[in-house]
Amino acid sequence: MQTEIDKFEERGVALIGISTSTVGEIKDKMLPKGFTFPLLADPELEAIDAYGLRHVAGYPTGGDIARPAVIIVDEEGFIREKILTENWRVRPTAEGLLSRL
Amino acid sequence: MKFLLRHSYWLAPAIAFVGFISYFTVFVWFPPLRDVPWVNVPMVLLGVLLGVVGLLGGWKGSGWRRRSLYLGGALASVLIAGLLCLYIYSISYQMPPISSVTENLEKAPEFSLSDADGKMVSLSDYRGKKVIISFYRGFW
Repeated sequence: MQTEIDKFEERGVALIGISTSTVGEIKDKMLPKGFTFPLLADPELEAIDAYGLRHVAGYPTGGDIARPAVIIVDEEGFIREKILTENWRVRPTAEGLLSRL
Repeated sequence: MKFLLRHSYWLAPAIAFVGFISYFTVFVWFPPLRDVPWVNVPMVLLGVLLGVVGLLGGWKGSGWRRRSLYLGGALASVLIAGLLCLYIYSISYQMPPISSVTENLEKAPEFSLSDADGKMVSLSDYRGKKVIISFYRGFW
């Protein structure tokens, strides 16, 4: 999604990433990859649980993490779309998302 | 070709290993190659092929030491290829069913979380704007 960020910005759409990674992990491991949209730390799974996206023992060593999901929220705060995957390797592409906006 | 076969006992597992490791380190960053592993699965299969052909070719007229080398190389490449396929075609599908919480959501629940700079970001900061929230598994 990062590579197509201009197209999202052009259309006035904001991007947010959420995972169980801590602030330190995001800083060390994700930012060097060039992400410019906010990546938020949710180590206590607060937002992840609010959206029902906890994947129990999804981490290879047994911890709980978020299952991959893309939620599109409209201007009024209502959910427009929930895009979930049945396989964590397969995620929606930027082009696919742009066409759904 | 002769060189390849002579050295297949280490080349085959090496090719399979590169195919295995590069999936997780390089190709996951390219969505089309992550979703359908066009590069990595053929690569590990190539390793298996080389291992097996080297084993068959080298078996005759070799001593036991050399035979066990070829056998070990072929087995190692099969093992590595098997692990990658296991991950891609089985393990990565093991996801919990979609929860009723997610299914019943209509209004996006508010959250307030810290970004990489320690700044708090809330969903309500974006009111009046469309937002795409991407939940991801995190880096590991």
